Amino acid sequence: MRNTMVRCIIIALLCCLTGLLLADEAKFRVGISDEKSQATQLAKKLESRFIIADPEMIVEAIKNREQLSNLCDFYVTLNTMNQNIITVFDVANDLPLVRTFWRDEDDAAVIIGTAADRYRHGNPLPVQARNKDPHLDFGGIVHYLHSVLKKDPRILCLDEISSLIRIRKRKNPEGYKFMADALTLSVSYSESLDEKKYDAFISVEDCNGLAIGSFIIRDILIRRTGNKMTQADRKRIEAIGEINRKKIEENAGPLIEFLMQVHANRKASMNSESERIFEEYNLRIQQFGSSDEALRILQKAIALAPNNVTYRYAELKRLAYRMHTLRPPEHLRKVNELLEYAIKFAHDFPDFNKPVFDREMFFDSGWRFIENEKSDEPGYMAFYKIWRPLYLKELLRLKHNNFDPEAKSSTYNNVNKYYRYLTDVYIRGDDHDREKWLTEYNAAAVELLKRVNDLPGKEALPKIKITFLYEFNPINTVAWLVNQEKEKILAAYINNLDEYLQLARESSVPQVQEYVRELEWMQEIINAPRSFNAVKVIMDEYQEKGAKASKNILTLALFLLKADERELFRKHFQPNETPKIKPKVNSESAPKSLHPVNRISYTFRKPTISPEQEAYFRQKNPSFDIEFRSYQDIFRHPSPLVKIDAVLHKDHTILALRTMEQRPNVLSDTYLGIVGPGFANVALIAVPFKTPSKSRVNLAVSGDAIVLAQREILAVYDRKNNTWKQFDDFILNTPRNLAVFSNRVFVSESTRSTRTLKSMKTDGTDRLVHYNNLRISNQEGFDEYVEGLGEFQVFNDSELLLTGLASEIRGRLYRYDPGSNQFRLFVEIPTTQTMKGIFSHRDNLYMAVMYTNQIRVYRINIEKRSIEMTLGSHYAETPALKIDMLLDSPCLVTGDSLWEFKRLVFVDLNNPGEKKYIYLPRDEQASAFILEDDSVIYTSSLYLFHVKRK
Amino acid sequence: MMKYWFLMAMIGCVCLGAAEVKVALFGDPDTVDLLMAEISEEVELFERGQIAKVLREHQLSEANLTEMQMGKYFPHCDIFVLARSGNLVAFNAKNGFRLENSPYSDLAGAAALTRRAIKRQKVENPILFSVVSVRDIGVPRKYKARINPMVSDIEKELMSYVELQMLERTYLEKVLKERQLTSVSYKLAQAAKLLRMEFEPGSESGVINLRLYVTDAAGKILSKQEVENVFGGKEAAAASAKEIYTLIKNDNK
Repeated sequence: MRNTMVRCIIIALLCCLTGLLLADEAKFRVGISDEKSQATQLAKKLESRFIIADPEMIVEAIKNREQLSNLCDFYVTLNTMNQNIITVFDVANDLPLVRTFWRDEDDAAVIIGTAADRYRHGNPLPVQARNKDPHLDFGGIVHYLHSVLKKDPRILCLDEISSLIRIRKRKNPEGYKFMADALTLSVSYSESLDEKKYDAFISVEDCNGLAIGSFIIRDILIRRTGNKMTQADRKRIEAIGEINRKKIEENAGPLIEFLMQVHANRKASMNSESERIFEEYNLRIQQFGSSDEALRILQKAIALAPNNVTYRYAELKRLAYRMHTLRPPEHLRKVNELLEYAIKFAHDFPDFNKPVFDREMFFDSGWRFIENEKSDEPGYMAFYKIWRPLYLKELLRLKHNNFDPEAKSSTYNNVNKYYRYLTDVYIRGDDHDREKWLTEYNAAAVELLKRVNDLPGKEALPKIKITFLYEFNPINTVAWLVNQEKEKILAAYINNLDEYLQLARESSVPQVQEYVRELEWMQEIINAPRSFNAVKVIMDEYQEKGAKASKNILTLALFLLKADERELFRKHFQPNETPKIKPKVNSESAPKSLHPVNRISYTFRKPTISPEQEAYFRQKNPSFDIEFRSYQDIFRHPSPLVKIDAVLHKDHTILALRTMEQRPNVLSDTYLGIVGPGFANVALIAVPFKTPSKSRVNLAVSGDAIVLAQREILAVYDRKNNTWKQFDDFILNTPRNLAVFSNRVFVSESTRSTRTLKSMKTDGTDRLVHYNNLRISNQEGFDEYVEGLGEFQVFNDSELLLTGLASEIRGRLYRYDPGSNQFRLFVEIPTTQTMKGIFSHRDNLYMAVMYTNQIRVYRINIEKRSIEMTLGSHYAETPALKIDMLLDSPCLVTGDSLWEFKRLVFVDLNNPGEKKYIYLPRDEQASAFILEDDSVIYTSSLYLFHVKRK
Repeated sequence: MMKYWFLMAMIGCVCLGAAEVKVALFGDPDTVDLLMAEISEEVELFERGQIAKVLREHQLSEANLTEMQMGKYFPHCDIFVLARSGNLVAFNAKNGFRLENSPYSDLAGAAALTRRAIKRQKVENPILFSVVSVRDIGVPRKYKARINPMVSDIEKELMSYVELQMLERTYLEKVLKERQLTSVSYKLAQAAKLLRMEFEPGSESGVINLRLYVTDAAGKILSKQEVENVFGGKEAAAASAKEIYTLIKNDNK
């Protein structure tokens, strides 16, 4: 009785639990985008498990994720690109849970059910499989692996959804952080004990490509296909595929459990103090590059987690960094230390899938290493003795897929593999004991020739590239020996080629017979008396037979002859060789020979120009009325003034100027220059600091405040009271951009890895750091993915906008909200477009972006928070304007004109095919502004131009 | 019978709890000798001669000893105390957590610090943490040099809270070198609570604020606090330490 009661209670509890689970599942809401009958039928199939959202509401909400998430948990699209492809999205995270073909509504319901299971598991583990060698497909193994991965709800198989994820990740990087956990199954194949079967070796790699585990599926079959497939071939391939599918399905359970374990272990190690220290190390590397301090931080992480392969490999790379810059004896000591470390590393991580004895690790710059070698030859030889076998072993394991160079299989494949192996070792890898290398090289040449000769059947021979035998030919080593002036070794070497010559004579490759003749010729020269006459007899003898002396023959003969006979030999056998003389470069090119733009730029590099130069300038600009004056002339200053920066404020041009210094690194007097329309209402105000000659200065104006900033100094000029305020603790570097808005100064600073946006009131109070990418958590509309901060744009004294670059997103526009004192994300530019800049003109705000090879201009609607394209097709119809013309160039758009000042092109947008060139002086500091009457102010280093269309 | 064994176990535990703490003293020879004399009645000390002998055997220099070396060559110790150049550092020999890091002006001061370290080591359920990052968020050049001394001051101030034990991380990279030399690998304790500091310009000229974050080992922010004008006065380090203590303690509840 008691037992029965207990059973009843257990059954009741289980029922409750099942009920709870089902109730939970029933809460999931599904939205189906397709209104067709298929969707209606599918909805009926799903009704028992899910709440189906109203299709009409779904259609309305489809473009707004927030609205959509109020309606459903999953969102289903049934037909993509007119194909029966079903995609199920997790709406909250905008994550595609599955994307696959579907047959009928029952099938689709099952797919959605699997997606629901995956959703319940929270963030799944992203996994994809690929063949290590993309050209090999061993019986569809990767395809079958993807099939089994898709069935497990804990795994998100990236096979068909990777492109969808890539797009969505850009929009929602925060939601896709889990993608950093993605695992790649890199599959390679090796012959198993049964020769007809293979083993699939699955290397599990993290997102950095580091192997963190391996799994083997044995006894798979391979399929080979020729160009022409017969019916029998097809049947055989199907049968092989079926066997492999079953094999993968049998192994699926253990493989997936293994992946989950690898993932769990990795997550456990990531949630540790050492991982946070490692983050600090990465930050330090990004911020300051490699340094002892960075290495010290890294070693702290390793001290806490000595078995973490990522840290250890980072340390290995760090220790090898800039090794080549060291000089003996420090260099040899460090190289040996690194070798010792690499040996320890290889011992601790024997299956590591990246090279640790690689040449690049030790010999960053080969020539210096050879130089170093001379300082301590025994020391370096001892190093080679240990390093080289390890390097060769690793090379065979990683790059040549465990190829055995000793295996003398007579197949073309084997010869090809052997040749590739030799190329890696002897063509690229020539840094070890030279004399030993010579013997080895010769032996390799013999062995390669032997294997080629042994290839069965004539049909194999045409496949052999001559380069095989040309690259591994003893002739090639002669030049090196001659260069090293090692006559004795050379003689011994050339006279010891019997084995090679014998094999070469047997070869059926015609080119090899040429090598035989050349080597025999060399042998005769080296064994002849060292006199011109003796050598001449040999040369004549061969040339009479029709042989042509190669460069190697001539070099060898010259090397062996005495100095006084070399000239005689040259005259006789190299009569046409004349010394190459470089034409003398005339450095003083006359300006008249230059292109008109360069000629005009050259002219305006001086504070005064001649009447002829002015006439030429006007002649080249017939379509424009141009007035110009030098800054020295405008401000009646005793010495020439150079523009550093310029801005337009209403109809006045405000300039930052400095005196022209002849000597570099001299501090120049700095001025603020104000120029009204018609070069009138001018004022020149001395700035309280001096400026180094090559230093950049930024300028910004708003109301009565004019702000100047240069490295570490920021000064605010109050035009009303004629006073200066200077701040030396606000900016750290030369600001990237500067703006004054709403009585605040805004500065963006960017260095290699740090980006800061800050502001303060013009009196220096109320300072705020809006954004800094080094902060642990950032606020406002910025996230940690901001890669760069661009330019400010003050619009109508009522809006402040800022362009920025976010990771994988080409452009963002931020808007400043004076109420909250914060920047907010305003508009995001699609990934295919690159933000070029923002500018305002006549109550309108514009944004220029690059789209493929066109410039597009959008009008920004602040109130609607939207953008509308105003210019795009015009440019597309202008074939002469290509992308390279417009990169990084200011372009100005008036009502019907586009001015582009880098290439100095003017386009009448009513007639875009007719472009006109404006010949104004080009220089890096040039800037241009449009006035209300559509005329343009152009400022170069020394002159101010006012340009009007005629 | 069961009751009898339980009683025996209880007595064993009490005896173990009452056992004296074993301390090894290193540092300036004169100070170490005097300090030994001062506290020898209270704790069990490693003999000076014994320490010197071990160091000689292993060709080690006392001045450059790492915590791991100390742990390796003096395995029966509970606390290592280093009194060098007017500063006393003590840490738990078993897990590397710091028990003391403060300056002393005289022998009495050094003895007091040693006693405090011993007291701290006896605290049940101490709060274990480490400083994992110190970041400079655009501090003006003229104040940059003050960041590291301030961090050091704050760490010393934190020592006044006996419940806190901070992992000794100063010599950590030396542990690795020693491990490479000896090929012996030790498992080091990792902190569960991590403290991150950010120095950032404040709202007025000359004002630098300190942002404090306590995170878990996965990097998730558990709590944060801002200390204004951290270079503003002598009490700033103490105030910061107090904020940190409050953050960590509240979070530990």
